Amino acid sequence: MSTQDPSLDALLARGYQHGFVTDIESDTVAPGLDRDTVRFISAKKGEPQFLLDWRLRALDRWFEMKEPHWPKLHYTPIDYQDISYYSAPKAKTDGPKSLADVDPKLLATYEKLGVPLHERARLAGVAVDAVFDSVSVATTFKDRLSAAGVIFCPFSEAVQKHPELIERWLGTVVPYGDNYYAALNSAVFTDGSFVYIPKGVRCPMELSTYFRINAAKTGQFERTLIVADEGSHVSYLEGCTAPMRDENQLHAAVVELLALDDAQIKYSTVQNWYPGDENGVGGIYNFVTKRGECRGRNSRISWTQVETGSAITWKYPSCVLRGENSVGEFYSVAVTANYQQADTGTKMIHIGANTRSTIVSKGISAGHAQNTYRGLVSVMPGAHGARNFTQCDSLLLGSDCGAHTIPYIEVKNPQAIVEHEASTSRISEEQLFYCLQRGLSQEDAINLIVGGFCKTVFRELPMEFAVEAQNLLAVSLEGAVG
Amino acid sequence: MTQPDTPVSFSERLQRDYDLARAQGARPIVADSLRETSLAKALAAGLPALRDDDWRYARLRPVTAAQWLPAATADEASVIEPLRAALPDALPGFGRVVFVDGHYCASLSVADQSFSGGQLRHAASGAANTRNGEATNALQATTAERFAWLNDLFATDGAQLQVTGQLQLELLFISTITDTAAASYPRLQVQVCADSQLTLVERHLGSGGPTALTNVSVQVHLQSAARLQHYRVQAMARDAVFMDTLLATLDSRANYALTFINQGAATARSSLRLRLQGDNTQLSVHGVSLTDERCNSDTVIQLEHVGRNSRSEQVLRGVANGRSSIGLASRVDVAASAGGADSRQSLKGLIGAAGAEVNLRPQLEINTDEVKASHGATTGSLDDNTLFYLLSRGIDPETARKLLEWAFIGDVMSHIDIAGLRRQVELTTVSQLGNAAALEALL
Repeated sequence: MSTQDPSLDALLARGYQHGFVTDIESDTVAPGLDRDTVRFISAKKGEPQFLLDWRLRALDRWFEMKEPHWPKLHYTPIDYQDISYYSAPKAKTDGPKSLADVDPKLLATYEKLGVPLHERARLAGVAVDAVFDSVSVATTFKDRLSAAGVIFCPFSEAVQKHPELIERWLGTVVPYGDNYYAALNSAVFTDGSFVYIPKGVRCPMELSTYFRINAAKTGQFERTLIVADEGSHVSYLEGCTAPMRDENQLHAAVVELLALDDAQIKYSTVQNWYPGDENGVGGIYNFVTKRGECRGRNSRISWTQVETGSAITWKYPSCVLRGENSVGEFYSVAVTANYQQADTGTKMIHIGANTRSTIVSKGISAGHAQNTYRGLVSVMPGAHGARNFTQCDSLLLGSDCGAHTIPYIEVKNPQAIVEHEASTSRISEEQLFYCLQRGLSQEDAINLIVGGFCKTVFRELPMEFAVEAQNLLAVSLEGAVG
Repeated sequence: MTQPDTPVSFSERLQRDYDLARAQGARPIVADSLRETSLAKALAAGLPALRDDDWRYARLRPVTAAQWLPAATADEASVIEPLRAALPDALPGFGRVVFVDGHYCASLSVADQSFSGGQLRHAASGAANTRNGEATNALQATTAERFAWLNDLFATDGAQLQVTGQLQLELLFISTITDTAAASYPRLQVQVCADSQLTLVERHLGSGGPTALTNVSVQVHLQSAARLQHYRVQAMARDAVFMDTLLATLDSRANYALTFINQGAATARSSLRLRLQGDNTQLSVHGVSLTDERCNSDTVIQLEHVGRNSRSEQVLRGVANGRSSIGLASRVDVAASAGGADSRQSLKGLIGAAGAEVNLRPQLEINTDEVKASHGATTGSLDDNTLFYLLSRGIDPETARKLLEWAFIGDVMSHIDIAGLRRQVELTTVSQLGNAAALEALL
């Protein structure tokens, strides 16, 4: 795509910053998916029988399901039998006991990505779990977290060390048969993060997981489970990148959040998978099921997401507000440029009395991209006094892109109040003129206006992510407007 | 018609009824080729699935339980004459044309065939040019309007209206069918020629029954700079099954103001598709759905901006009482060619009782950046402060609530510019809201 401004074209040519490949020896299973594949993954992880059975039930269910075609997404059909469902860096031992045991190439990869894996980077104040292809390679600050009673570890480690917690909570928010991609993930997930915050504990630091796809012809299927026990509090950050490749790669994740009485979970995502090139070649197919359940009274779950990557995004972080006075929040910026397509939004299911939810969604489309907000606010008969406010705005940069807003408002309680407002427009010429006549370049002016457009979402992000998100936004839109 | 003992599939039943209608000598008014096409489409599409977004809030079981074969012409002495006294008062300055059970009724119509500003024909009169069943520049029904295909198959009469000057006309479609009879297929085609103007009142009234289906198909074409004020009132009996399709196309500079009141039927579904084809067109849609008991009313609007600099406004209101449910869905499509489009939607639902349900779906599909589009949607109960204000002034709680419900739909009612019609609609509406005497006194 060419713009009328050479300087913007040059900036656009800078492209994706994280598209390098790490040349590392890996242990990869042959493509294909059947019950043996699932048994192989489970055996590789040394899982207990209950988990293998659960995986196999999920696989059987997946075979019965059909891939959904209702999203506003157009992509070449995925051959699920042509994907390798397990790829892990070859371990020199059974597994790294500390960062010293981790392959230096892997550490270098995360250094390049700016992820603070070395605990010497403790000034960042963030505990990180780094997931490389199918496995977790390192988790930092585990001792300090353990002292507070917090469990933060790779999912596979949690299966070994805390099987009773996994058996109790896994699939209680997103059952294995929830949808096509959740069923697939349930059958073949290889790793992810597990977090348990005990009663009354405020997690002493931000928790973060960084996902990296490296190997070709593989998919990434991670699973995250966060349980916040009564009166606890946790803030969790998630980031992701992938190499630049001409073929598409599949990412199908599941995130389950569970908040008990008076607990709070804040889940922030900066999604920066490889989006494909300027002609729409390559990029990650990102199909993610994220759901939180406010099971307890006065609990709160807050989703904040900045979506700038992926060729295809299918993602609806949701809240089931079951506990009385529980609160669900969804703040989202979704940026699509070139030929990216995003069908994303949220669901707020009000079941308990006096439940409240807020949805703020900002969609930005540029180039030939298509950006869809799809949201459901459902108020069940027992949700007396439920309240929802939704604001959903779209910004179009260019005449070839599209913005689509598809909200569903379903109310079955006469005392509920649901308010929804939305707008779609391009950047106002008056705003642009105002900035230009004060000496700003067009690019700076647009960045300023777009930053203002997204401000209500960015301010919900933890500080370090907010800066990253702002930079990502600028990079994503570089050259997209002329 | 007797129903078979064993259940049959939708396609089997449709084919069987279609063949039966032909065998019984039902005189179709739609060209054979179009009927065959519609039959093929209906058979291919089948009934909407539960997960079909366009039918998400519709209740379809009564439609499948209903009779589909078209009703015969009503008997003049036993059916038509008793109707005369029950008709609403004529609107001053308006011609009136009446269809009973889908058939033109000369004895109840006040005007016929020709007017100073246009011409109306009923298709069964036999005029050759009225039998093609397809208006010029007509939109084709899609699966979202699939019941229009059934109308193509079974309609036995219909009105074709061509307006070449200025015209005011009232069309009454009355159903007298009962459980034991068959279905009614009102059919209307309207063409407003360039620079012409039409004020059209279209009312659907009458009896019904849990297996008595009324399936309406309306096509509208506004030529360049034509103007149409269109009032649609659906006040069917409380147990009727009512399906309705309206397809409209606007050429350049055309202006279409549509106001609809849905206040009857146990099960009602309206599918509207409105295309702003030409440049500089204007469309306004003001509509209200009122339900109570266990009624279901579902309205789905698809509005397509195709030409440049088109403007649209939609104001939709729903009040659900009893254990009823309302669906209001409005989708605005702005094509890449529709630069300068300006679209606004306002959808509001009021739930008057525990057990009632309101579902709203305001949807924007924007494919160009040169556009201004916005929507707002709310659902809730009556505002406590406002209610308190009325109570503090001595109004009893029930009247106060009904008064506020009345005010809630005021945005739509105020768009009925014909005084006589407005009064009639107001009276039936207050009657439906309940506490009629108190409200009437206040109005």
